[in-house]
Amino acid sequence: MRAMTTSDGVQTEQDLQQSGVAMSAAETSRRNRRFNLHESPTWRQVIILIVLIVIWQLSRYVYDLQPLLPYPSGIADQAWLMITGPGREDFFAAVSATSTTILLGFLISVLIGTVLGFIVGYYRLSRMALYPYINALYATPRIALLPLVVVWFGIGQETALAIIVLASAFHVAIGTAEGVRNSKGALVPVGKSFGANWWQLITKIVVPASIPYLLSSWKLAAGRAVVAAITAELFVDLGAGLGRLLSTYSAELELDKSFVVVIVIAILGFAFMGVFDLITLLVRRAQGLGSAQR
Amino acid sequence: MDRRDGISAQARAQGIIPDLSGKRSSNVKVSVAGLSKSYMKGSRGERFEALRNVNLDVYSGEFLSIIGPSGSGKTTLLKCIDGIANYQAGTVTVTRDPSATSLRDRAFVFQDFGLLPWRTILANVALPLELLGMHRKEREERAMSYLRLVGLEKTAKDHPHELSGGMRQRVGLARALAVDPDVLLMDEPLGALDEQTREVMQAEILRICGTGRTVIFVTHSVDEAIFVSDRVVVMSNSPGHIKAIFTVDIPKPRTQLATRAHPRFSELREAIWAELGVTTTLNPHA
Ligand SMILES: Nc1ncnc2c1ncn2[C@@H]1O[C@H](COP(=O)(O)OP(=O)(O)OP(=O)(O)O)[C@@H](O)[C@H]1O
Ligand SMILES: [Mg+2]
Repeated sequence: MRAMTTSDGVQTEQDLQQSGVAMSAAETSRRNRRFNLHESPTWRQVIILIVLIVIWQLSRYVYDLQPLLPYPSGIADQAWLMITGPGREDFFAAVSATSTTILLGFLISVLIGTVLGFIVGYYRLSRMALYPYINALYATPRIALLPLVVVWFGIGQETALAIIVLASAFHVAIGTAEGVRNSKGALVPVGKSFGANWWQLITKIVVPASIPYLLSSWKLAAGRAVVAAITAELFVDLGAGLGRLLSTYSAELELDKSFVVVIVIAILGFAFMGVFDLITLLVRRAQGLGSAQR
Repeated sequence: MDRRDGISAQARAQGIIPDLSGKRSSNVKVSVAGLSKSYMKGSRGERFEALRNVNLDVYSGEFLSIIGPSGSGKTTLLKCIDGIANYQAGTVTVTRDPSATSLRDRAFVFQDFGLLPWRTILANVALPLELLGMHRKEREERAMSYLRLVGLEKTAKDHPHELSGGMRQRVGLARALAVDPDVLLMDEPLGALDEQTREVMQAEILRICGTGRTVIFVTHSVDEAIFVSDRVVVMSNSPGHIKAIFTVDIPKPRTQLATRAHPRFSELREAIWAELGVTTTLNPHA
């Protein structure tokens, strides 16, 4: 009996230790992941990517689909040529034109969306009046509005900006409204109870409480802005731009070059959204929230 | 005579004399008269009546407990007294003593703590002082002294999520005390604690709140209410109203053991449970 009890006790202790180890291991891996930008560009995924590229390249010797399908070697050659070759000014002009459009459109979206979201989130009356429309527009495929935008704004950068704003401002508005509403429920009464005035409520409670929501809505909006900018450039000729370059190369069946442009767009979007992951991380640290889930 | 206090026939029958004389102090500190409040529910403007015709006078320096089933409007009443909830009918009057040195006349200890997660514990306690425009050094020193009072000075640099529920509640208490309020409104401040810590904290609260301060204290525990209070208000449901008021005629200062051993303790306990609609199994007359 006694021996059994003892061994039982030992086992329990071991179990406890083991679960403790398991827990701390989970904790560690969670922490590691937290310090990575984006979900997990770990070495494993890099290897998978390399393997896929190699398979893609090798498949050419089994069944060659050129010129319908470009191959990594050709894309790499073209990329090198576009970056260093004689036409490189055009390429860089396109990159900078598109980046400028995205950035500008994004900033306008954030401005409009934040103001709108704040009003809708903070004032009950405006929420009841405006939220249904915002939600309805949010659910509408806004690409359907593109022809109208062209009619209203003509053909020029304003059109691209309008399309970006349509695509991303609502995300910002809804995210902001959520954040503000969330703070209103629990923490604004605390401020009021201790005598905060309107300005103090906004600066000391509503804004800091909404920041995580703002950042995640901005990240979402950044992604949407990239998509919208390319869509706009594909639809209407705005002169220089990656979208324009893409449609030109595709029309000329220059698929290697098209692929280079697609990759550049992907990198652009990835980097743009990555900035917000980084900012989120820094803000969370500054707010002392660490890994805690809110 | 305070006829507005709804005193149930049962309380009279059991010989529990409700407080009719206001013998503690003739100064009414908080006066709630004819208070009714309903909440807007849903988008169609339906109303939910949370409080109906609540009348209550709280005397200066009194420790008053409110007890009642969940949803009986205890938090709502406290919020109306604090002035952070609006109400449809009635008045709430808080009399301010012109010689008072307090920074604010009322302060609230929230049921769900209400700490700002992005602020350190010290900055949380200093929040009311910051809102009053007190300078950094001064408010941090003052906040620190109140953290020390609740025994949490070591957590000053931590953030709320790093503290246990009971510790957070003490931070909420320190924050409210930091303005040295005339009236301290506490919404289940010991709800997050285990039984042992809770009993220690009951005595601590009596010490920390000090003498001379008016305290309105919401709790779910009958024993706790009796131990800490001068009077116990029993509230009831749908819509929330005051059902009975009991005077705890056990001399202060009290200790847990002596209070529990006091003959009035079990009598009051029985009577309050009865008002709450529960007959205890210990009731010999049952
Ligand atoms: N913001 C609100 N909106 C709508 N209804 C509310 C709101 N706050 C409280 N109520 C309702 O009012 C009633 C009283 O709520 P209150 O929080 O005052 O109860 P309580 O006595 O504090 O309960 P508990 O002991 O559970 O804390 C409840 O029925 C609740 O559903
Ligand atoms: Mg409550």
